[in-house]
Amino acid sequence: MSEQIKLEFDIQVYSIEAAQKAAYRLLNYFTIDIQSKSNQIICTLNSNQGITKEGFDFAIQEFKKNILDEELRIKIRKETEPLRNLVLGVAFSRTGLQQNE
Amino acid sequence: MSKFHGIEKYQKVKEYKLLPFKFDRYDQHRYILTNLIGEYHFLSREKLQLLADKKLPNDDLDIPYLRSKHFIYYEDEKAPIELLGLKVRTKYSRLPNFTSLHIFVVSLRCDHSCPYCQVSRQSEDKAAFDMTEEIANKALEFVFRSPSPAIKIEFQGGEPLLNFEIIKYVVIRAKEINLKLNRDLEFVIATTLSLITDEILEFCKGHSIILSSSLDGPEDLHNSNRPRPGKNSHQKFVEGLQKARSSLGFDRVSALMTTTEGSLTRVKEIIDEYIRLGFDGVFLRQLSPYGFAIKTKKYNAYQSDRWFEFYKEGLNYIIELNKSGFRFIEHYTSVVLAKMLTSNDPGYVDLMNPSGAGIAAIVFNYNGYVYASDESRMLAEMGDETFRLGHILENSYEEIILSDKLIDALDESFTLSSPMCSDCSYEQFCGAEPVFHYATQKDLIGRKPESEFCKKNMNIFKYILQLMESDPKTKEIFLGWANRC
Repeated sequence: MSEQIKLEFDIQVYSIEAAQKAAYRLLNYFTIDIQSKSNQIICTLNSNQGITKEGFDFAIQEFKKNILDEELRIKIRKETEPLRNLVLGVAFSRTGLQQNE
Repeated sequence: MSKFHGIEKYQKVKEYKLLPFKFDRYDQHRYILTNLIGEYHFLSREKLQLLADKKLPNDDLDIPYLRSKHFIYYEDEKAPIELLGLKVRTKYSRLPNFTSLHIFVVSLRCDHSCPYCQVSRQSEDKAAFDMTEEIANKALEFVFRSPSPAIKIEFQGGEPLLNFEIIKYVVIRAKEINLKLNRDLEFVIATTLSLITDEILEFCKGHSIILSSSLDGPEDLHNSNRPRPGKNSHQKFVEGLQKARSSLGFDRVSALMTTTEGSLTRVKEIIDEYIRLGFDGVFLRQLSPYGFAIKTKKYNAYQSDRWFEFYKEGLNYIIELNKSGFRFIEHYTSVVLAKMLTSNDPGYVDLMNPSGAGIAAIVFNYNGYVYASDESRMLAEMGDETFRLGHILENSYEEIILSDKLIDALDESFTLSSPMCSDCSYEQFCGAEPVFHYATQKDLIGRKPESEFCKKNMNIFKYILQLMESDPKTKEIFLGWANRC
């Protein structure tokens, strides 16, 4: 029997990208339907076949932790993206792998 | 007035900046952070948030570690970016060299009939399953098109010694070609040693050929895993090993093991057998999900969880041996440790990104078909030709290396852009495995939450880190292993 739960997140605090990434890490536990309505992200989670109630409860907790982590990842990635490219540029600048335009 | 500035003169008061890093929950209280080259550090959730918000005080105890491991830098510093760039370049220095390992499958025939083997044939028909000179010549042309300064040619089977004539031909021809090209040329024969003779050893000695063999553990386990007429595969191995060592040198013969269901409760006995026979390490390998291993249901007989228990028990035993003064290593752990603790990539094909398929190793099958990896040809033996890149007599080097099959596999599985891998803090220790994920999920990228490859390696990475964190003596031993690769 499939378990279901609906979770709501404030769109001022969380992004849909964070919800998607957080859910992807747990796709072995549940399927998810993500909707955006007014100021809310609504996530409807349905447990996969064979996942117990305890397993599903665990996955819900993990999902809530993951979505927080994903927000922080997005923030760090956005801030460090130019540096990441700079470091990679420095790394490969003398390898002859680049082709001149 | 003092002749010296006060300490405050040298203390940074400016705000630090973040360098690129990834993080994951490590245990109940801590997160693991890894940078672009896999240097790692642990922080609490609170400190991680403070770090990201630039509110971690400059006198915090973690700040020096975060600076030295390239997680943060100060605006007036140029060295951290240059240094990190240098380390990244070192880490990826294998890429421009391209394919170094060239596998020649010289015969599918074998005197063993191992139930988990993907490819071997019990046949006397040489014409049907042996490589010809025509195919070998074309394969050699291909080999020397590789820009790699170091070229390794490995002969595999079946039992390659059943077609020793073609091995001799390839070795002599390759050395002739190499007189002009001057590459660092190395030859390896992967053999059970059951058919080794003085004549073969004399040739191997004359051409500095290394032998790579198989040992699955104590006699009864080895014989049961590797049946052959006479039920004496272990005895044949031991006799061949002694003969080969006395002819070629003690360290010119290595051995690999395969874990079957029967091995799972016997890891200490397996390690003891390796020690008894004078090896300085063991590779606790999991069975691959290819070929006959799936057909005969050997792969499904155990899953990653059970194998991981086997691995942990073995690794703990090996650590205790080291602590007692006996130097012995577990090879897979030492590969992972080199990725964790050094800027070098040991070039182990399963743990490479981009995937090592085709660009680190390539396979020339006995019949002329070219495959992206050893696993690819095993898959082909099950009738799935997804990773067949072409035919050595019909396709050019460019057609094979630039084939969509290879480029798509490398491109799609690239971990820096794969879902979940791109955000995973363990990604730097791991690898892209398009063939494994295709074999198990029919998808080059694979859904990682359902991937046995991901699960196995995450378990290993976390366990190795845990061992190092909890015991300085183990970390000291592991540092020795890391710098051995």
